Amino acid sequence: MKHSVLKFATLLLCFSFFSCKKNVSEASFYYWKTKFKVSQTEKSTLENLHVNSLYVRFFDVDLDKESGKPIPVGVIEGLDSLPANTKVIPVVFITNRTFLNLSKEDVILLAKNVISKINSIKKDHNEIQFDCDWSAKTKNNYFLFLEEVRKLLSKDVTLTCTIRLHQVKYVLRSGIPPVDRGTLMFYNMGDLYDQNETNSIYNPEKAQKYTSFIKDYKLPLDVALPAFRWYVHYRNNSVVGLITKNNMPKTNDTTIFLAVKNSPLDKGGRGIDSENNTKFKVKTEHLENGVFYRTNDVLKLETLNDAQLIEAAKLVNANLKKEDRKIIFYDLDEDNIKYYDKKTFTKIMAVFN
Amino acid sequence: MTKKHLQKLWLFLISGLAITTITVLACGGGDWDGTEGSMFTPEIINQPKYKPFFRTQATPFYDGYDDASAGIFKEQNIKDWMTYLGNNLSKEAVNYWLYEASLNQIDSMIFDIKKKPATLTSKSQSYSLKTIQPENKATGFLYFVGFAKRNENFVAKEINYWGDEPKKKETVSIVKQIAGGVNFLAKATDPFMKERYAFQLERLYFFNKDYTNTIKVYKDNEAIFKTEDNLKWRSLSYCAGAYYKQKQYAQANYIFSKIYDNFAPLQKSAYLSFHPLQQADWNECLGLAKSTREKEVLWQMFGLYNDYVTAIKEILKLNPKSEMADVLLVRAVNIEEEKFTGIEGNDLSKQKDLSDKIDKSLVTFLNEMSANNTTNNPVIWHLSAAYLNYIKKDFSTGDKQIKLAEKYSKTTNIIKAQYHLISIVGKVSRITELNPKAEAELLTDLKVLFKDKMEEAFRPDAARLWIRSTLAKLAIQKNEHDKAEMIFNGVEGKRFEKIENLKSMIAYWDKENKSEFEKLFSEVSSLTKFNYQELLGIRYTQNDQLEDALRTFKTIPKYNNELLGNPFTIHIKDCHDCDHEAKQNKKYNSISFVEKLIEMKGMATTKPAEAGQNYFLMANGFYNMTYFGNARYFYNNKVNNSGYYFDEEAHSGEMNCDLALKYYLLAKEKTTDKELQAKCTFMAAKCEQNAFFMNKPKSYKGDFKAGIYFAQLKKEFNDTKYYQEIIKECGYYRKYIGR
Repeated sequence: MKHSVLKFATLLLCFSFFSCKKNVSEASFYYWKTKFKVSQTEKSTLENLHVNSLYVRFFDVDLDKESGKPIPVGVIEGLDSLPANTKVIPVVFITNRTFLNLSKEDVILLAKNVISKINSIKKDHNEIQFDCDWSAKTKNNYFLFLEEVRKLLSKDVTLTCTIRLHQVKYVLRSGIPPVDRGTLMFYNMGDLYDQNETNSIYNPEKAQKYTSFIKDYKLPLDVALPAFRWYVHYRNNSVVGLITKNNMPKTNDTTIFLAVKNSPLDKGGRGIDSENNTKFKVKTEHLENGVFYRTNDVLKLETLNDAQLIEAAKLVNANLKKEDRKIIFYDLDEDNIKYYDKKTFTKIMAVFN
Repeated sequence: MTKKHLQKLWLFLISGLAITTITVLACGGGDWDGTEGSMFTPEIINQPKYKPFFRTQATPFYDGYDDASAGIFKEQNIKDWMTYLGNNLSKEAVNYWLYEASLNQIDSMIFDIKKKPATLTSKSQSYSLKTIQPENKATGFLYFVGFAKRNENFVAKEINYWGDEPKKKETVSIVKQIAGGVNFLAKATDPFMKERYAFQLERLYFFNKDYTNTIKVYKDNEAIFKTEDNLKWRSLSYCAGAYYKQKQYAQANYIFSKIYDNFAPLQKSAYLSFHPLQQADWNECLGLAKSTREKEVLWQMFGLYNDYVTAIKEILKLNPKSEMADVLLVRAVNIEEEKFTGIEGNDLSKQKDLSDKIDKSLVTFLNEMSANNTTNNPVIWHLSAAYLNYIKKDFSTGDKQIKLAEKYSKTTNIIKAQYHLISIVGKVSRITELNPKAEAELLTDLKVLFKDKMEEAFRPDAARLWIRSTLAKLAIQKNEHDKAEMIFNGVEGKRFEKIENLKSMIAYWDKENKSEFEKLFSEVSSLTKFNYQELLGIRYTQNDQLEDALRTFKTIPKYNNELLGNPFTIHIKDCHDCDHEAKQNKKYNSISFVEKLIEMKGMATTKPAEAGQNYFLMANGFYNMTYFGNARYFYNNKVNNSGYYFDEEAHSGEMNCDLALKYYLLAKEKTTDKELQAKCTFMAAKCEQNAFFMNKPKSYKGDFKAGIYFAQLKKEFNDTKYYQEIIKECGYYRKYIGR
């Protein structure tokens, strides 16, 4: 803590850098499932966009329910089926609570364990990425973890991590992680808890609160864009949970759900039912894919349509420093990308190039 | 980390949505464990069996992790074998043969018993089984241990989570072990041995992914397993796991519910495995329950796993007197209160309006249940209903409910404390004006809440915080700012930037005719008058009122706020760590620092020839006592609380270099030494830059902007030695002059 403050004060007085050349942006995707298998649609999406490297979630790290110690969870399977010409960038998601009560020694051990686990799944990387929504309480441990990881990697491996918008805005509180590059997650900017929120994934008005801080961020940034959808589950005006692709409800089943009329996705969006409605009321109390729906619960579909995704790309691009970067879509899944026009991704890449 | 893989055979993976994880329901953010803001103690239900399932977000269970079972099983196993072997062996000996001895020593022991040549280690000899009679009991034990040890390669494998993926099992060997197991089981005549072989065999089948036979072995041998034995419940777990793997979720969940209800060591593990997915499975599962009690248990687990209100209703429909709903009720209240308590702490502007956050249908249900008075433990319903009504600001209903609770209010200490706490919440939340009458009415209750010793499980902290903030807010409404501060320190963050407010607060501390109410809050305050005096001294110094500062600091008993570095040194590049580590002939504290400033000021006046140098040193002191300097500890104060670290909302005094700037310019004016003038100009530039940085327009790119002092340096001081040092050390300056 003390050190970061002092470094910050020193920074005030001494640095300078410039750059001036044509910037190149490269498209990529996150792969966020436990079994690696790329479908034909997914494959052609990658080919169309000339994607040559894929950010693949290798495993998560969370606390073991029995021992309370950090363990790898949901280790990826089937990476051997990877096409020979596709480069894989390992991504490891670490829960914030993992870092809450670790000692310095625990953190050093965790760094060793994580790196050897990554290498046991696949060797030889150009880049390794960590994803953790760190907080003020876990910042020191997470940053120490990243420093320890850095020591274990050869110099030519780029160490990156995800950066959430609040970490960009509240940079003094959140600190800047000791990595080579950050991946700015340009989504989840709205207020999920507000039922009047039009879209918590992307809200151009709310985005303004964050965008002016992006340029000042002291790390070169790649950008992650949201090509996914989820349902926000409300009960009595409060959020009960988020329902993501693994347990999506069948909202087009009119025996259990009722579409709230006149709640369509914006023009060009592709919703669930024929009228593109986004709000559904639970008609019949039931359990579905492990989620319990009480009568009168409300489900709100949130996603970005083609036009909005392009708009988001333009908005973030206008606020970025000029540099080479990757644009990474979250995530590569037929169930997500089928909602987008093939040309949308190409148009987005044109925004950045 | 290596651990024995015992029960956790059917883990559910948490992964998948991770990149967009959010903490649903917790309003405070990722660090909040959910109990910090709670005023409602779940222990009021007095059911220790369900304590692990009280609401918490910090650990999987209220009492931590599911880590006790392995140890329990080992202990029990040793005890069982000691009894079986006729209590002729010590615990250490049985432990040795079960868990430590090698296969070679086990075989050697068998040979030795059979009077064949054998090489035994001294430990094996000292724990010899030769004394056990009849002889075949000892050999039977050893054969079993040998068999079980060989099985460990396949079943109780030491799993290193962080190592490589487990090697593929050697199918041939496990098949061989299974054949051996079938044989041993068939031959075993003794029920004790039969039970153990059946368990071993079932487990082998499970790990060989032969789920049909896993279930079959359990069913064929169900009669052998004794209910009081842990082997029965462990075998049943494998059977349930096998059903789960076969996607027979109804069966699996039903069996897990039986284990959960009947066998404490596997209660948590069974709960973690319970996982109803679809309505049809769940209906089928309920259909399997053979008694009302079994149905209640299923609904309780469903409530813990998913929807507590539906579960409570179903349980009470089945059995209005069921105690199975109690844990769900307190969980419901604890989850509900997460909506309005949090870590926003003492920032009143952020304190949420609680009333419209509450789940109205839950309150309606609680009111009904509380009024019906048909449950086994009515007081917990009365208290829950009263609490949420009060939070919702429905005082008349809240009063009715708390009245109903009154007659039970002395049954246990924890009920008594909870009853009292909710009563106070009711009283405080309806106060609209903090007048002497209201204060007097609250006094007795507040004394109990703030001063009495409480049961350990009880949760008074959040209530205290909430009451402090509510009452302080009311005091502010009446313009009683000092009282508000006394009730709740820090309630008006920037108030103590002003010297007169600090003086007023100190006078409030000194007031002799304090009311009982005021006395109470001065007694339970975490601060003392001296903390405010210290801040007054700091403010005087920042205001260049040095004599006043010194006088104020000296009124604080034993005051010694040591500064880490020499506050009178300065560099082109700030390096606080260097200053802190540098050898210091004199270690300054706040008092000696101000004394030195006064001395220098005096010298500057009496010896005009040295005025420049003295003002320069004073300017360094004033610079270093800001956020930018090496002596930030100077303003470290408990009232101010901006502390040592950068705070976006820090107080202006700490971030302001104006006083330093004034003295650098004065020093420059008073000296004829061009080198010193250059130094003063550069330091003035630093002050100028810090001011710019603190007020930088959002649209400005970069951190730095050259101002008038860089221009002066370039124009007037480019022939000084110091100028060359600046060029060497300062990138901003090099950039400015285009190098």
